[in-house]
Parts: sequence; C-alpha cells; structure tokens
Amino acid sequence: METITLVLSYPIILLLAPPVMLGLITKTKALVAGRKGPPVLQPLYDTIKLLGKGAVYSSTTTWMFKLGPVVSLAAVFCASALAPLAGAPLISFNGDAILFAYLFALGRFVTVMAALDTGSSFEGMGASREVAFSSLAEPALILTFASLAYRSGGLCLAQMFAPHSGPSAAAGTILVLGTLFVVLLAENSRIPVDDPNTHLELTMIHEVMVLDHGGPDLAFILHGAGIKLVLMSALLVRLVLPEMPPAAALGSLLFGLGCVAVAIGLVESSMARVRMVRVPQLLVAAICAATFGLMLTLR
Amino acid sequence: MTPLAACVLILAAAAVLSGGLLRRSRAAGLIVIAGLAAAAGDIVRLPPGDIAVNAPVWSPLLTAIGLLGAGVPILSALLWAFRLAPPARTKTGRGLALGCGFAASSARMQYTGSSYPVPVIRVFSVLLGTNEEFRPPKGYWPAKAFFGSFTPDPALERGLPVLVPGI
Repeated sequence: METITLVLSYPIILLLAPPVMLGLITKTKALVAGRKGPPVLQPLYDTIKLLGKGAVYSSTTTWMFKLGPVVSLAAVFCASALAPLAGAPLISFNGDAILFAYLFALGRFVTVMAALDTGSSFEGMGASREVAFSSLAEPALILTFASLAYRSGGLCLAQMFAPHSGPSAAAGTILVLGTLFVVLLAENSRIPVDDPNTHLELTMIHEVMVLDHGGPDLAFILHGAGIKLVLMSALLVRLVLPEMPPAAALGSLLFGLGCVAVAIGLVESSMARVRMVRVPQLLVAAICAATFGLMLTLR
Repeated sequence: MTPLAACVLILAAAAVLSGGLLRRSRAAGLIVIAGLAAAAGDIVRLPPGDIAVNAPVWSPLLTAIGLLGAGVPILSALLWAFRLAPPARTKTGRGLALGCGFAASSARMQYTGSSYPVPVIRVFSVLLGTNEEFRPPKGYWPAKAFFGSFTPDPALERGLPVLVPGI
C-alpha cells in the first residue's frame, strides 16, 4: 500500500498538482472579485499548448539562454526527490535540507544567467532584483530549517517535517509556519512581493526575467515554478499534518495544497503588491520571526 | 511489484494515453522524463536520516555531490534532447531581444558589475559604506553627466586598518 501511494504520489505532485494549484489561486481571486474566472485546469492547457509551439530567440542570445529553463526544471525535479510528500522522500540523508534549499538556488542562478544573456537592460533589472530579494528570503528559510533541525535532532527533511508534538512545539511551529508562508510568497513571486500577472511593467521582478522565453522554454519555466510552489506548500502542510497511513497522508496532503492555494488567492485578493522599497522590510520581518522561532525552540 | 517497475509501467501508460489523446508528442515526452526521474530516484532510495550513523562511508556531502553531479546534468540532458525534437510543424525563429522599445541595445545600456548589485548594496548600505558620486546633466539638452560608485572591501580596506593601525 505504501509503495503504491509513493509511486502514485510523484506523478500527481510533479505533473498535475502544479497547474491545479495555480488554477485554484486564479479561481479564488476571480471568485472573490465576483468573476467566473478561467477553468482550474487552464495552466495545464497552457503548458500543453506551449510545448507544441515553436520559439523565437533573440539574436543576442547564446546556448546559455536555452540552458536556463532546462536546468531550472531539472533542479526542481531533483529537489522534489528530496522533499517528504505523502510518505518518506525518494532520497533522504542527513543534510538534505541544505541541498534542497540550494537546488532552488541553482535553478534561480541559471534563470538569472539566461535573463542576463539576452543583453536587454529590462531583463538585467529583473535579474538584479530577483537576487537581491532572494538573498533576504534565504536567511529566513535557513533559520526556519535551523529551528526545525534543532527540534528533530538532524538536518534531514524527512525528520524535520515529521509530525511532532510537545509543550515547546506549538509557539515555535506558529512562527515557523508564518515565516515559511512569507518565504513561499517571496520565492514564488506572489503578492505582496511580486505580482505574477503584471507584464511589461517596471515594478515586476520574476516575470521580467522570462519575457524573452517562449514555446517549450516558457512551458519548462512555468511548470518548474509550479513544482516549486507545490514543494514549498507541501512542506508547510507537512508541518501541521498528524501521523497517518500513507493513502490518507496523500489525500490530506492534496487537500492541504488546495487550502494553501486558496490562502494565497485570498492574500492576493485582499492586498496590493507592496512598494519595491518595502519588500526588504517584509523579508527582514520574516527573518526576525524565524529568529524568534529559533530562540523559542532553543529555550 | 517493485516500486521502480510500477513507476515505469504507470508512466508509460500515461505517456501513451496522453500522446494518443492530446496528440502532443512533447507532453508525452515530458511525462516519460518525469517517470524516468521518479524511477531513477527509486533506484538510489536510501533509508531516511541515519545513513551517516550506520555506514560512515556514506557521507551526506558525497551523496549531495552525487545527486548534483549526476541527477541535474542527466535530467538536463534529457530535457534538452526533448526540447530539440520539436513536432514537425513548429519552427524556430530569430528576433530582437525584448527591451520596451530599445530595439538595438548596446553594451553601454546593459547592466554592469557595479549596477547589478545596487539593490543589495542599498539594503546593506550601513555595513558596506559605498561611496557614490553623481553629477547630473545640466540644462535642457542631454549634456555630460557622471555617475560612479565604489564599495570598499569590508575586510582589507575597512576592517584591517582598524585592527592593525598604520597599515
């Protein structure tokens, strides 16, 4: 039973969950705004359409531009093998939390290199902002991992995100959850840090980097971003799930992913993107919350 | 049935189904690649957590290097090969880079080593102590202007002179 769940969980999480989650966010935003909105599976249709299309490459680009989407998708695929989803992760060892965080960093690095490769000052601006904000989101993520590692006694994602109870757990967990949610919003370029729907605006961060990509390259980037959102949301859900059999765990994980998508949709409906100069303050607040969480755990 | 065999079976079925139903060879190819990734992950599946304790030969560093050294390049090569095999009717073109009207961008308009880290430098300006000099253009028509910035090395130029006076 456990094997079947494990085997089933990866295709679902890697192929279906990312577009459905993005579709749920869009649907939530549409419903809150009083519109009908596109179908929940619209991102999946978009990806399939893009995979069948050709591409136009800028005459200034080199192989680096084509390598970016490929390596960033490969990096999130590898990260998904480390993440505890429905049961134990496919690959697990002491220290995999660090590799998990830096596989995302590898994906970001190649995306930034591809953006700089176009030579467009517009995409250079996006790349510059992306690394600036992720350099602030990273300490928050690592501090969160540090408090979870201290609590579980090992730097292994499977242990860190295992069901845990205890008198000191509750307060620390709330801070860890809050920090992880802010990091999730920042890393996945959602409101209030970035607006995934803006195009051709000088205020955007992540979207501006991928403006020159089209066809299968854009499909890779969109699907990779979806998997990243699912993986980080899955970690969030795993923190609150109690111990349960694998099939129930897969079901409740998928339900939890839906809840996170609705929560992101509600956040995006209820507030605007913060000003660019305020984004570092938000991320520094997340770092402070993570530090307090660590202090509560060390106490 | 081993997990590996089950994985390959389910994904092969999914690939055939999607290839037939959607008539999109690329979608089918992507599913096969995801399946191969899951299967490859299954081969190297290790007991969680206690490898470093049970078998000291398995260091986390070596496993990490192994995963990065094999997993990412192999997957990238597969995805690259998949991207190079387009459906018959698609074509690849060449065009200008998108730049909001700046069709022919030159090296002078691109990000440089000192302009690229400006957002980070602004956040950590208290610690870094960057000197900036800006002489804006005067008058109505574009005239001579100057901007220069210099960030002193935190260790060699700011830390060491304090610790070792007279250096």
